[in-house]
Amino acid sequence: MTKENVLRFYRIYKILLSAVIVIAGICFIAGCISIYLSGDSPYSREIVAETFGKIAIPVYLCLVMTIIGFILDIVLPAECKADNKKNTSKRVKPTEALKLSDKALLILRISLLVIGLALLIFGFISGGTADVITKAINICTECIGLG
Amino acid sequence: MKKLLLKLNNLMPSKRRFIQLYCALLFNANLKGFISGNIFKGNSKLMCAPGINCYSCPGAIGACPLGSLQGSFSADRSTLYYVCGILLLYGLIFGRMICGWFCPFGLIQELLYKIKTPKLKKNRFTRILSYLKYIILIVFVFIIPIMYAFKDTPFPAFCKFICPAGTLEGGIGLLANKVNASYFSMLGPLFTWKFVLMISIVVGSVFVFRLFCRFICPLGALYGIFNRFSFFGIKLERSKCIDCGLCLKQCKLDISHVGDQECISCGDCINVCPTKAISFKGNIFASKDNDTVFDEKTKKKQLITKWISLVLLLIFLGVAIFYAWNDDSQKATTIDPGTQNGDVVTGNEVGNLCPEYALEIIDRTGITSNTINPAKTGKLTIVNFWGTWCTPCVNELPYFNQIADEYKDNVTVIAIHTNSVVGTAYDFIGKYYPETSMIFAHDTEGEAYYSTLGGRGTYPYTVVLDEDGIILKIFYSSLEYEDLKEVVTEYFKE
Repeated sequence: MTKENVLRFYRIYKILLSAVIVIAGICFIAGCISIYLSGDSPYSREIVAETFGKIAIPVYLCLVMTIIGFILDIVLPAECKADNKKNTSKRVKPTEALKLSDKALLILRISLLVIGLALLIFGFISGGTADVITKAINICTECIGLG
Repeated sequence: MKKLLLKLNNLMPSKRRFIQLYCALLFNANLKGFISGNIFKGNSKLMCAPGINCYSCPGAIGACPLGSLQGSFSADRSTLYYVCGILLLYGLIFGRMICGWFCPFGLIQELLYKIKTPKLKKNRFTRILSYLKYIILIVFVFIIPIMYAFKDTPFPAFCKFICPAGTLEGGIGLLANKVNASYFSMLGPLFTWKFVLMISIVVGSVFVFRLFCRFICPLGALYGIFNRFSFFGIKLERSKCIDCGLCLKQCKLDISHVGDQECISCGDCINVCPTKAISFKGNIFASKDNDTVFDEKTKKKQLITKWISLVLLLIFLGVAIFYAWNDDSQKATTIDPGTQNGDVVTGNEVGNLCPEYALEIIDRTGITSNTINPAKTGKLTIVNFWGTWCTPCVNELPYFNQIADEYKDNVTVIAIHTNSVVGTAYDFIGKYYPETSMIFAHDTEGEAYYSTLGGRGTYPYTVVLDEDGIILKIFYSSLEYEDLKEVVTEYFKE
């Protein structure tokens, strides 16, 4: 494969991959909106089935786009992957990665520990466990797909 | 003998795998649940398990952190503080080490990945896709449930539409037991969708390492935020690092550097580092310094400590299994149904006489001084068991209200709220059903009336009684207006 062909292929690949990501993103947003609206509709089996039909289309498209994205990345010639540094996964040198100073780390850890314990204790004392256990000891039919 | 020991040694799981198996068994210690087909109802369920483990799994003895978080938005504020406190502490102490060491669903994916097939290696696309879980976290775990919380409707969007652990552990786990054959009547488009999604993730996990964890799991996304400052995890000694990149090549996840938000602290990078710059934080899982050479006495001490820890862990697991097996809360509390009344037997099946009990009526102010006995109304009675924490229950109440208003002279509709958290019902009734022909009541302690009428833990649950209190129909799933109308018109046609 000549260098020009490699570069041409890589340009086409980048356009296709960007299109895949954009389409998948739009489908994902459409799916989210459909899901939000499905909660509004009365619990009618026909409406639920219809809503799922609407949700399924964008989500299946998302899946298809994802598979296409995977395939595109696999078939990309090795020369493209080797030549173009941008093609490799974005790597941050470990020594350059943001490091928290020891003092900042200690302050952050202690603060979060205190906040976490305070929330837990306050929630426990105020009876916050009642809702947790009620939900946990009854079968969440939606969670397990019964519906 | 030596060869056998060597072979056994090679087959022994690694420390991490052993801990994963241990945690999977510990968090699902209710082994009796797999036999009986019932979920655990003990007090340990007020504690959230650190990883994804559906609380509707027959074996689960803890609550699911994601399910609890989504449910807490529409519950009392104290619930939100409690759940947030737990998640904050888990994240701070372990970070995403929970994913790599404690999560049962992570273990399932890793075992599936061991199947010998061509594997999809990480690449630029997987790196981009790894940000999807943050979007799922924000949209499905926070935005959608919070928006519905403003309408007083619990809506666990992630659990309902995405979570494969719920379908696999809870759904399949319950449906596999013939005792739960009645649940098949509840299957609909939601189950089809979740089943397809679950199968896709399970099959995909054979080809892609930890597909769910890398691209979908919002709990991993949440814990990943804490990775940099958690007490346990992976750390890098910058003075020793030579930026060779071997750690990145070895890692199967989409990390940009060791210990970032994608790192699950599996430790695969530790063995390949040529300068031994990578180690575990917390110093419990490794020696203080990777170069330290121990003398015989210290080695012996370490071996004894190891064996004592192992024994203690096994004892703890045994205690958990024993506690779950003998937990009385699994025996449903029921009311004495009474005896035979002529030819009709009192019971909870169609054709039986409904057990009598005077349930306390509730309204927006709380528990009133009035009572109602569903078996003695003298009219066609529709008894619906519901809860403010239950989305399908809240969604179908308007239909019951409609029927109650349309047939107020001939039909009595009684909506019985669960006894636990009944306080949440008062404001709900005042806000949405201030003027209604429906009668709201609350169940007895331990949801005894629900169990007596044959309830098996699923809500909503509806029982229809005739004028004499004989059970005509039982519904395990949500009902629509047309279903209720059909019941009423059929009864009066006869």
